[in-house]
Amino acid sequence: MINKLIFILFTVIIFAFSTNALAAWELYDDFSSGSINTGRWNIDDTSASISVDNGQAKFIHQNGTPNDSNYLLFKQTPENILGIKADVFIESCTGDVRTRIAGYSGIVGENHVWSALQVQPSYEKIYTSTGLEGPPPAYTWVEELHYAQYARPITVTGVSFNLTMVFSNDRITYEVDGRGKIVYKSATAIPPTGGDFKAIGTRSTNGDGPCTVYFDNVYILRP
Amino acid sequence: MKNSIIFTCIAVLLFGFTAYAQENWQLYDDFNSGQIDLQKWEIDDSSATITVENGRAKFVHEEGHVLDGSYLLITQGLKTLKGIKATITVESCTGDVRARLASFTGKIGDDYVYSSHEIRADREYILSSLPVLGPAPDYVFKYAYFSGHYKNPLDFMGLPFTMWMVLSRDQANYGVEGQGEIEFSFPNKLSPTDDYFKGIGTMSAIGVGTCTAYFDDVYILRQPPSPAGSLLLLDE
Repeated sequence: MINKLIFILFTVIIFAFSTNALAAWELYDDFSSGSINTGRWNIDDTSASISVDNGQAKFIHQNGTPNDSNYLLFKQTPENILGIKADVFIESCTGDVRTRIAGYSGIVGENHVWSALQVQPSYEKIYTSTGLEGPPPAYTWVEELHYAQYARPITVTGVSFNLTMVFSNDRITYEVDGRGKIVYKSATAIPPTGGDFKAIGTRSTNGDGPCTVYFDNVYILRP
Repeated sequence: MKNSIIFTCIAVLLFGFTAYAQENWQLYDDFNSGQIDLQKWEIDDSSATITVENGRAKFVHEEGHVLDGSYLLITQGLKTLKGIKATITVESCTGDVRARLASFTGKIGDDYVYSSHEIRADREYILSSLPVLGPAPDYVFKYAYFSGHYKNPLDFMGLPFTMWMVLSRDQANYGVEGQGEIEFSFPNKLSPTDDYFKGIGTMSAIGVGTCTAYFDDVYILRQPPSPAGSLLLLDE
């Protein structure tokens, strides 16, 4: 009996040591309500039309809006979100538009750590990036901390991808079903921002487009 | 007593899980002998002059060698070697010449997955990459299986960077002291490689540029010798 208890105790310890092992994924939105639930999302549609179509969130990113991002921003206690998971399907896309899950994961001095897992059809790639941005409200770009890309080139348009991004205090874990897992571990711990910006959305640097994208089955990881 | 033994076993297993990769680096060469030790290294100097200077291996990469890498190739115990660590200092560099740790890590069908962990002067960052190359002897580049880099831009000229890569058929782990680590878990386990090439060196893909780089304190990580460790960590 005592042996069993010791074994269970150590199993729990091992489990607890693994990243966010005690956190749990929960469904945040599967868009089956037929419309964007504004109790769950803040909408930034400055350069895209965002609607719900056949149980999926549909972004139609417009051209002519360089460096203008569109988002559905998590509204329900986003400061407690440790991870985001979503299905992404790009129906059609031109130019440099990318589709992504993204958010601020921590703070270094006065700068904020921005992280994203992005699908970019024109460059035939899925990539991760982490960088430092200055304090709000400008969030001016400071420098890149990390960048990585999955096997390239790949066909992106017309293929469904399940994207996952998980934050912890010294690492960010990215995973694409069937494509592998990338972990970026910072040289030093990065305390949480206490901020609330975590989102799904689209963006073009050059103002290219249009791009039609669907998001579905959005899960979040909470402590 | 019995409980103590169980406790100790589990503690050892826990320690094995967490500490092996960090604790078992063995010094392979610090170049203090004053010359390239031919018992430890095979020299490929087809595109660079390679000497020892002030206790460091010095590569002077020459202009005009397209995809012709120069290497000090590890000769001892290649089949059990899963990690390389070295301190690399780029004194001067132009063009696309890179100073790097390099190895094959496995195969996908007939193709080889190459691993390179390199200082890229032209891009001002340190890059980790896994290109897929066609069959021997040509090893022609096919596609990028993975690539990632650290802080960009990075001030590196004249500065030493301790860099390591630990490879298995499931995963590649790259690190740079002070810059962090990047780990890529493969979507599918690689097949075993039949080319055990592992080394340090320089290369230019386009044959443009010269580069003077120093390598020092080369450490290696071998697969664990104990049966318990083997069960946990061996992948071949």
